[in-house]
Amino acid sequence: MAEKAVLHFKNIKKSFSGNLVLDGVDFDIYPGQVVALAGENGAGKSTLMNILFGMSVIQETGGYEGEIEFEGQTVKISSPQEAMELGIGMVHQEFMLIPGFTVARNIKLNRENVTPTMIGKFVGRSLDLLDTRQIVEDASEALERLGMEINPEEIVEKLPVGHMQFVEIAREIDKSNLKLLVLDEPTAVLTESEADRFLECIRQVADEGIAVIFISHRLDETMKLADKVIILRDGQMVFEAKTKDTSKNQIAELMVGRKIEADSMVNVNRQFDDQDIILDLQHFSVNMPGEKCRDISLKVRRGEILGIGGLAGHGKTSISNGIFGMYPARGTVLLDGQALHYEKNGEALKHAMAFVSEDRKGVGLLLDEPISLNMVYTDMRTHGSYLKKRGFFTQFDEKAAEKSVNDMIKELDIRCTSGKQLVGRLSGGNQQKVCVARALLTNPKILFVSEPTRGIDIGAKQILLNYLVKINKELGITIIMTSSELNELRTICDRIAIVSSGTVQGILKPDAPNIEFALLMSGEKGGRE
Amino acid sequence: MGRQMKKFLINNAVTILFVIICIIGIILANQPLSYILGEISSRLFRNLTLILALIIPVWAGMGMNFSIVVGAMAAEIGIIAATNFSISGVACMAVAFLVSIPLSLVFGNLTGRLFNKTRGQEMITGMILGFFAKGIYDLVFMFLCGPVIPIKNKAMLLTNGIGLITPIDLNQETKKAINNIWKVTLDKALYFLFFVLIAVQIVLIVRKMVKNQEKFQWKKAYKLYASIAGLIVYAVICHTSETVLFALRFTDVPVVTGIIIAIVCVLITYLSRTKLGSDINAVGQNRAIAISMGIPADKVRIIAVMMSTLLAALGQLIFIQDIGNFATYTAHENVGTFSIAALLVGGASIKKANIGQAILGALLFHTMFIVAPLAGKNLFDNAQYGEYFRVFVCYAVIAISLALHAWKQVMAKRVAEEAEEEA
Amino acid sequence: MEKVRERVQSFGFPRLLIMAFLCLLIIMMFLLKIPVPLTLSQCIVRIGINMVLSLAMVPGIMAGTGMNFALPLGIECGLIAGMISLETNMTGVPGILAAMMISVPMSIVVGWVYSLLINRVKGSEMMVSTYTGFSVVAIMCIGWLVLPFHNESIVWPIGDGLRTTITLEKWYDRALNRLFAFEIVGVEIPVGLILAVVIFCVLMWLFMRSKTGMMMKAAGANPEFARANGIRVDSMRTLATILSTVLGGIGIIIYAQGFGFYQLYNAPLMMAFPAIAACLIGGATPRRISVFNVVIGTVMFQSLLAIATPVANGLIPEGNLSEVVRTIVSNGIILYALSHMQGGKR
Repeated sequence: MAEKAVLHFKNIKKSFSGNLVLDGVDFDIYPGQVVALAGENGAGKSTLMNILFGMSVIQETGGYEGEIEFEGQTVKISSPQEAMELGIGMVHQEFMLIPGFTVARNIKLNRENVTPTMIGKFVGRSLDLLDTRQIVEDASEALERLGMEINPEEIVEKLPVGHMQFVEIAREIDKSNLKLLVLDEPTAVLTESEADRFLECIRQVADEGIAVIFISHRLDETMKLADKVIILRDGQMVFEAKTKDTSKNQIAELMVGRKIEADSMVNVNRQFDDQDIILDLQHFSVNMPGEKCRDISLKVRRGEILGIGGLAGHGKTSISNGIFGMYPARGTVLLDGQALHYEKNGEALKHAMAFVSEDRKGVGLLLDEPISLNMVYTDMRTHGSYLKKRGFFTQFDEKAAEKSVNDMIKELDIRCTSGKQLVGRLSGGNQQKVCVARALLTNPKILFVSEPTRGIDIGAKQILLNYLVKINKELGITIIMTSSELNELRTICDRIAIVSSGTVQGILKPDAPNIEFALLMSGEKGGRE
Repeated sequence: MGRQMKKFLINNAVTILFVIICIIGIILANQPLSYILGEISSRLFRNLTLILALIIPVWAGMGMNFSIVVGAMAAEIGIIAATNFSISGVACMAVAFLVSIPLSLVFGNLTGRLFNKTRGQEMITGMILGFFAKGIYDLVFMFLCGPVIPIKNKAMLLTNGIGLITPIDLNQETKKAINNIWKVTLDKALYFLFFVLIAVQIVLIVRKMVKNQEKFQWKKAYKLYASIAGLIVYAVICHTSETVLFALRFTDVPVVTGIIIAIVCVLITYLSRTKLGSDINAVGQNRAIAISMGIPADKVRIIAVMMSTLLAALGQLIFIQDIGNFATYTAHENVGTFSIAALLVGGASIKKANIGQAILGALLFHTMFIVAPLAGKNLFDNAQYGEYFRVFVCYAVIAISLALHAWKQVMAKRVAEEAEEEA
Repeated sequence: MEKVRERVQSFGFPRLLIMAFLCLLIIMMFLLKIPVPLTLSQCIVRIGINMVLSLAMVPGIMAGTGMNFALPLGIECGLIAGMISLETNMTGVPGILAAMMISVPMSIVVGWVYSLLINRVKGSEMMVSTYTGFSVVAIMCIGWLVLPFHNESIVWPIGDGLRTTITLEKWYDRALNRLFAFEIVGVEIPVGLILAVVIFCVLMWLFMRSKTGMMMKAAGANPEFARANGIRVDSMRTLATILSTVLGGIGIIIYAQGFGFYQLYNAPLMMAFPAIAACLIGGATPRRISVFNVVIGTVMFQSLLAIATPVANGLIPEGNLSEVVRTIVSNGIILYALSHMQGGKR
C-alpha cells in the first residue's frame, strides 16, 4: 500500500504501579483497512484504546512511553475530545444513546445543525434553534450509507436492541472528519443475523476509506471481516499477520499462548472416584447481569479442585453467585444428593459451603471495618461463633475473635499492623487473603473461589494458590475455582470446565493442548471429558 | 382499550383524584360561581410564574427544584431595596426586578454548584438549602439591617433601629401596580384567548403548507377544529347562562401579568427547541452519555438552576405585587412546597414536566386551596379542618409522587431484569 | 502544615467552625457576666432531653436507610401516648413510664407500616421520609381535633380538640429531672434524667455490638456483602425503622417532661432536623454513626444553643437570635454532610 498510514503505534509501553501491562506494541493501520485486535481479557487491549482516546486514567497513572503517529504527525492525545477532533470515533460495547431522543437527534448529538436566531446572536450561540429538518436529513443520509432502513424520527427507546448498534455507527460516520473507527466487541449483544448484517456495514464503512480497529472474541467474525490480525498477550504483541495468511486455529492457540511447564501443573494425575459426587448441578441457570449462564450441568467430585474458565461476559462467574443466592437462578443443585434451596439467602452457607466473591470490594469486604471483624463475620453469622451472652444481649467476643484472626494473619502472611487495621487500607493481595480467611474460618466442605488473583501482585498470587492447594490436600476441602486466567487454573486444578455463551462447552485436563482450550472458549463445540 | 384506560388512570391518578376532590369541595363549599371564579383567576395569575420556574430543572434531571425559595428571597431583597429608596408604582417593580436579576443569577449559580456536588440528592439538598438560606436571610434582615447595613427609609426599621418590620407593605400605588396597568373582564379575555388560539393554529398550518409545498390536510388540523369548537361552545354558554356570564363579567383579568406569563411560556418553549434545551434534556436523560458526547453536563445543570432561580424571582415579584405586602421573614417559606405540589397535581413527575401541566396544576391545586376551608366550615362547622386538610394534601401529594416515582423505578428495573431472563 | 490541613479535612471544617463558635460563646458568657450555674443547669437539661431523639438516628444510619427524616412519625406516637397518660391522669415518674409503655406498641406498628414504604423506595429514602413525616404531622393536626379526649385540662374549653400547648404541672412536669436531683455550686444536676439517658445510650451501645446489631451494620455498610452472608437486608431495614420510631416516641416523652409542655399540632414538623444535625456535628455521616457521635454531638449542639440564648439576649435584647443560629447551624451541617456523601460512597 502506497498510501500513508492513518495511525501508527510506535513501541507503546505502559505500566500501572510497576506492573507492565503494555510492552512494545507497534503496528499501523491504513485507510480502508480493518484490523482485528485479539487477546484474552487483561491482555492490554483496553489499555491501548484508553491511550488512544487520551482517557484520564492514563495520565493519572503516569502516562505512557512510545509515540502515536496520526496521519504522519506525532500526536499527544490528552482527552477524548481531542481524539474526536482528530477524527477518531468509537463504538462501545454498551449503548451510548440517549433513550428518549429520536434516532436523528442521537446521531447528531452535540453536533446539531442550528438556524441562527436573534436571541442566539445576542445571548449566545447555544440559544440558536435546532434545525430539525437538516438533522433528520443528515441522519437519514448516514443511515443510508450503512444500508439500514431505520426511521430517523423514531425514539431510540422504541427501537429493537439490534438496531441501536447501527445508530451508533451512523453517528460516527456522520462525522465528516472520521478517519479511524474503533469497535469494542460491537456484536456482543447482537443476534447472529444482526451480527452478519453488522459486519457488512463495517465492510462498507471501510470501503469508504475509513480505517477500522475491531476488537472481538468471536474468531469467526474476525476471520470474515479483518484484513489484518494483531494478537496481544500479557501486553506484548505476539502476532501480526494478514488474515488470509493465518487460520482460526492459529489465532486461537496464540491468544492463549504461553508455554506452561508440565511440572508446574501440580494436580494433573490425581485419581478420584467418579461416583462420589459432592455437588451436582443440573440445568442450572443464573440471571446475573452481564454474566448470564443458562443450562449448566456439572458434577463435582469429592476432594478435587475444579476450575471454571472462560471469557468475561460468558457466564462463568454466575455459577457460584447463583448457588449463594446473589442472583435469581433456576435448576437443580444437589449437595450430597440432597436438593439445595439456593434461592434462600444463606442456605449455602448453612450447608458448609463458603464463597470468595470475584467482586472483592463490592461484595467481599466491609472496607470501613477492621480485618478482625471482616474475617470472623461469616462464621459469626452462620454458626454464632465469637459471641458471648450478656443477659438479654449477645455480645461480640473480641478476645475469642482476636485469637483466630491472629492465627489466620500468620498462616496467610497478611501484611498489616494488626488485626485492628481497617481492611480498606490494605493492598489488594492482602484484602484477598482476608476474604479467603473469612471463608475458611467457617470450616467449609466446599469452597468457591472466584477470580482470586485479579489485580493482586505476583507474590500474593503465589501464596494464595499454594494455600488453596494446601487446604485441599490437608483439610480435604473441595474447591471450585473460577478464573479468567487459564494458566492459573492449569497450575492447581484437577479438571477445568470451560464456560462459553452461558453453558459448559467441555471439561479438559489441565495438560490438554492450548488449542483445545482456545476453541472451547470461543464457543466452538468439541473437546473431550 | 381496557388496558390503555387502566394505564391512563394509573399514570394520572393524582390529577384525577384532585379533580374529584375539587368537585366535591366546590359542591360542599356552596359558594357563588363569581366568587370561586374570581379567586381562581387571581390565584392563577399570582402563582403561575413560580410554578413555571420549576420546569427547566426537571428537564435537566434534577427533579423538583426546592431551592426556588432562594429566588423568591432575591425578589424580596429587590423589593426591600426599592422600598428603601421610596420608589413606588411600576418603577418600584422594575427596580426590584433589576436588583433581583443579578442576585438570583448568583444565587442560582451557587445552588447549581452545590447540586453538582450532591448529584442524585438535589431535591433534599434544595429543601435543606431553602431552610439554610432562610437562616442567613433572617440574620441579615433581622439583625444586620440597621446596625450594619444602613437603611434610609426609617419606617422600615423596628422602633429600636435593629431589623426590618414585618410585614412590609407596598404603598397604594405599588400594590397591584402591574395588574392595574390594563384590566379586562374575563368574558372578553376568554374570547380573545380563543381568537388568538385559532389565529396561531392557522398561521402554523399555512406556514407548514408553504414550507412543505403541500395542500391543506383536513385530517391533521384537529387542533384547529378543537379551538373553533371551544369558541362556539363558549359563545353558546355565554348567551344562554346568565350566571356564567355574570360571573365572567364580575372577574377582572390583569392583562400585563398575563402577557408576562405568556412571554415566560414562549421563552420556555423556545428554549426547548434550542441547542441548549437539547443539551439540558440530554443531560437529564443520561448524564454519563451526554458527557461522553462532549456536552459539559455540570455547566448545563448550573445554567438550568440559574434560569429556574431567575424565573422564581420574577414569580415572587408578581406574587407580592398582587397581594400588596409580604411577611418579611416568612413569605418565602412555602413557595417551594406549594409550587411543587401544584405542578405535581397537574400530572408532572420528577422526570417530566411541561407548561400545560403547570397551568392545569395551578388551576386544580388552587381550587382545592380556596374551597377546602369553606367546605370544612360547612361540613364540620370549623374552618380549621379544611385548613389542616389542605396542608396535609399538599405534603401528601409530594410524598406520594416521590414514593410512586421511586417505586416505579425499582419496579421497572425488576421488569427489565425479568424480560432479560426470558429472552 | 500539610498534616494540619489533613487533620482539619478529616475532622470537617464546619465542625471546627462550630467548636470555635462555641468557645467564643463561652468567652462571651463570661464577658457579659451571665450567671454561669444557671446556664450550665439549662445546658444539662437541654442535652438530656434531646439525647434520645438524636439516638433515634442510630438504627437508620446503621441499616443504611440514612438519616431518619421521618422522625415525626415516632414523635406523633409518643404524643398520642402522652395524651392518653394525661387523659387518665397518670402522674409523676410512673406516669412518664406508663406513657412510654403505651407509646412502644404504637410505634412498633407505625414503624413497621412505614418500613414497608421505605423498603420500596431505596435510593430516595431521605426525600420520601421527609414528606411522609410532614404529611403525618399535617394529618395528625386533624387527628388532634377529632380524637376522643375529654379531660378538661387538655382540651380547649370552647371549640373542638386538644390544646396547642399543654403544661404538665398537674401531671409530671420535670418529674424525671427532679428524681434524685441535687445541687452543686448552684448547678442543678437532674440525676433521674441523666440516668434515663445513660440507660438508653448503654442499651444502644450494647445493641450495636450484639449479633443483630452487627448484622444490621453490615446490611447498611454493604448490602451486597450482607446478602452474600445470608442476611436479609430488608428485614434489617424494617427492624431499624421500627427501633428508630420507638426511640422517637420515647424521646418526645422525655423531651416533653423536661421541657414542661406537650406541644401538639405543627410543633413536631421540624423536630427531625436538630436531632440529625446533632449527630452530624458529633462526627456521624449519613452512612456511619456511633453512640459516641450522638453523645458528643448532642452535647455540643445543645450547649451551643443553650449558651447562645442568654448571650444573644445580652447583645441584642430583641429578636430571637438563637433561633436563627439554630437554623443556620443545623441546616448548614446537614448541607455539608450531603455534599460530602459522594466521597463516602463506594
